[in-house]
Amino acid sequence: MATVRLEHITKKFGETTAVDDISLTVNDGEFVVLLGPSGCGKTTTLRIVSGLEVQSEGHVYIGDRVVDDVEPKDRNVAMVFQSYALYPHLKIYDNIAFGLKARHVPRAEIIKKVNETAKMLQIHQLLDRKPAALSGGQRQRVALARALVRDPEVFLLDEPLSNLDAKLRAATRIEIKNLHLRLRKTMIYVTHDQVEAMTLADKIAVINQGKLLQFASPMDVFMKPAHRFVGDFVGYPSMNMLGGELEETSAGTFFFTPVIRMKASGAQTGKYFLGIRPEDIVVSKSSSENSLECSVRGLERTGSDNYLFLDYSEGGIVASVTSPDYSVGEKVYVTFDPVNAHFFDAATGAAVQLSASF
Amino acid sequence: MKLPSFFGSMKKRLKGRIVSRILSHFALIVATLFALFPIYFIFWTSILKIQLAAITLSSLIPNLALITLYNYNYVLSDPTFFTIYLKNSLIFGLSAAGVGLVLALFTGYALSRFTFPGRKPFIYFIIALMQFPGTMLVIPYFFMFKELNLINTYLGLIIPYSAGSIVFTGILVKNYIDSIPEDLEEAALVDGETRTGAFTKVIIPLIKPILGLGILLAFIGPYTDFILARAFITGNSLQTLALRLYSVSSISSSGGAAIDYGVFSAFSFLMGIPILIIYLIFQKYIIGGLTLGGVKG
Amino acid sequence: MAHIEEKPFLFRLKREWPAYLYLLPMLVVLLLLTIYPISLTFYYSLTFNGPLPAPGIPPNTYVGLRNYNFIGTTDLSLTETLVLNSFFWATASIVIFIVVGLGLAAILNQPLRGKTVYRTLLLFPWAMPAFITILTWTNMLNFNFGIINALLGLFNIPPVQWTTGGFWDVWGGLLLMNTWLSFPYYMVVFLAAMQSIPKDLYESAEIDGASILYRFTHITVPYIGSTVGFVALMGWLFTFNNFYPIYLVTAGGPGNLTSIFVVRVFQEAFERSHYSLAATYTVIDFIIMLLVAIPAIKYTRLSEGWFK
Repeated sequence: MATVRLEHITKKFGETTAVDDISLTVNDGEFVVLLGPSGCGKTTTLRIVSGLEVQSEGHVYIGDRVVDDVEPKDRNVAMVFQSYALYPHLKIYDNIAFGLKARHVPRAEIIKKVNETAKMLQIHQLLDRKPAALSGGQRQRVALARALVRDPEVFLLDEPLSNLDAKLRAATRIEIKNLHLRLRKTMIYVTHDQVEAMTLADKIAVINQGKLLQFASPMDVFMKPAHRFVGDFVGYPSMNMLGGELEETSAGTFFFTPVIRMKASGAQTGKYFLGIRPEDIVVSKSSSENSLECSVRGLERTGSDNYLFLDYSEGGIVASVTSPDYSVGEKVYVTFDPVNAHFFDAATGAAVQLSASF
Repeated sequence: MKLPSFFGSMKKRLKGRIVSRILSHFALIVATLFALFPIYFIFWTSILKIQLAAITLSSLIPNLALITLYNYNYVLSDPTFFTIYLKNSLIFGLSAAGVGLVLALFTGYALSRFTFPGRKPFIYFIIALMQFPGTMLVIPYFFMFKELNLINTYLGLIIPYSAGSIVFTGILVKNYIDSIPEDLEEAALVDGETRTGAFTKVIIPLIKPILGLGILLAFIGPYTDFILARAFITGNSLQTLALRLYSVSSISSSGGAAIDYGVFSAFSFLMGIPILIIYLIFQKYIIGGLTLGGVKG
Repeated sequence: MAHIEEKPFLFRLKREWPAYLYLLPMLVVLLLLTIYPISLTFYYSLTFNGPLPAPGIPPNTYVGLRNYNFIGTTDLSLTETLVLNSFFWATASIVIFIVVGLGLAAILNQPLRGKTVYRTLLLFPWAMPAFITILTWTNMLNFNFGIINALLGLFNIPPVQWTTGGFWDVWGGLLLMNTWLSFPYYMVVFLAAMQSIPKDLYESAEIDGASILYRFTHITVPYIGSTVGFVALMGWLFTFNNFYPIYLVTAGGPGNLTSIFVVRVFQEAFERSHYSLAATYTVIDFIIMLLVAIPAIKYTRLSEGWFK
């Protein structure tokens, strides 16, 4: 059983806290993505699981075993590095066989396993070459092979696709997903790319400034962001955030922003952010009830999607639209369904449940 | 009339470039002549039968008729060149390089890859010690080794020679290891190696070039040392090439009556050329290493 | 293992203790062959072995600061000469090295036919062991039949007394030879530094209309300044105690005109058996070196590569 459990993990480098009290459990066979911007502590967390870094506080469990004092070599984990970390002086065969040799696996078995793994990843014709003679995509496969061949309990992947070009990245993403579906091994995968996280993960752990903000399935992370940062970070273009205040009035409780007024209830009065995804914004060329007048600042066409950048009296809004038929300066009217609105506490960033309506 | 002025300025620019190119070549040719002249001087006089007093500018003009291998014959036909001088110089140079390099390897690795408490003060301390003029260690060494009855013995010279290069090569190795990504060792650690295993299986194979260079630099010190050898070597059996070269040079420069100057040149050439060739082959590494490591003046 | 980490002492110790094992051989060597002999030198500087030179017998009578007193009073003029000569020797050499090295590096750093050939040929003096070439220079600088004087004769310059003449004659010869010995090193190091400057900086400056001089002072100098500074510092410290060029050519003469600390120390010790006096000069030299090196390393960023 290769469950990975982090209990109150904190890691300090001098004055800075890189990882701040993270607890999470990765179940056996689960694919968990640690997602966050660069410098958020996700790689440090992964390195703590591998044993390359030692936590300042807290405990790491792999299976039923506390591994706090266990050296990396004895944790039975494999890691794919962002730089691939292929040994430049060894042929591909020896690169893949390195871990097996270190563990004194019989020679015949090494040959068999290396060949099988190389075939599976379609790099068997490269075994006699040195890493320098390989393309980026091939090196990436060798790095994967080196991890796979060991058949460890846990796979750790540190931004394995970030050095590939966009097309190769998409193709490899699917392969990694298929590998996981086939092997059903516990995998922890670090990335700053939300598309990778959404497509690969069984569960996403969103981390910012060393703190775990949400640990949930991709759909939950997208549909029910638990924190303002999560709403902002996941999804492209980012969620529109409108600052406002929940106030008690004689007519009931209302959420006010400078341009929006909604009936809302379910939380204490105070400052909140209203979050609304670009795709939930309805853009119309004619005004309607509760619509907000905006002028078009720009249109970004990606081919399949069109993003409309709008200005209203107090700020800007991004909307995702189907038709590219807008011109700069044009007046449009936007509205949205209150069901799609997210609310976040302005002070803590935590999501709050408000039932809102116009 | 824009066209002519356009061409005019282009011509002017071209002319400026040609002038600067000619000046550059001129400066480089002067510098090259300056650099090569003494080496040509050694080489040419080594194949002439001539005394120092007889060397004039005209005798330096290449002339096939004057070439003789007399000097090389003279030097090499004396068996002691091989059985004493060359043998001893190689023993001192190679053993010092070997011992010094192993020490430098461990030192460089520890300084590069560990953040042990005391690392920074230790580096400061080494730098401070480096400021003690190495030449002047000869005095305490002399009495220390005399006390141990090691004067005029192989061991008595190999020990200080080995120590002589350790700081410099240690820093050379450290700087080179600094340039190797730590990912590689970490990958080895996760793959099941111990730290020592990662050192021997990943780091050592990767730093081979700098080890070659370290051996070379550690070799040259003892190979050309005069100070320690002169103070420590009293008998005939431990004499080195450097001591011999010095005595040949003082004979030949004192008017050149007794011995042909060419003998000195031939000796110099035989002693120096192998080093020159190795240096030129490894110049890339040497320059890279020395940029960070220090100075061979 | 990352170097930026500043962990608590014990925490670091737990992970990093094998470093001491790796350092152990070096520590033993340092202790026995550097620290102990340096201490011995300090001790010798406080002792004396009688009024007459005693070859091969270590100084053994404790006399306190008498040797320092001697070189500070009776022998003061010699001490001053040694200090001035050592400073002059190191400083003049380094200035020349840097000017020649930078100049040649700048020339080689432009597109030029045959520059690899030039570069390799210019490396020759540096690649030959200095001990050998200095002996040749000794002969070439000979007043009566040295080839340098013959070459000067070609330009109708009267022969120079390179080893026996006045200040500029003798120092000139030494500096000329030292330049020959060392300029290739400075040239290639500066060239390597210049080649690491991104080309587009020059291109954008050229488009902006910057002159060659402006480009040199505003791009080249800031980029390679720290390399030049570091190399100059190291070179200065090395030259200050560079023994062979002076010992083999002039042996400090004529008189004490070119005598520097190392040469004098070697002569006092091994030609006159004045071991305690030699040790005292050594201590003075060491202190001067530390006074120059430690502030230069501590208060500039020149050698930060060492601490990375």
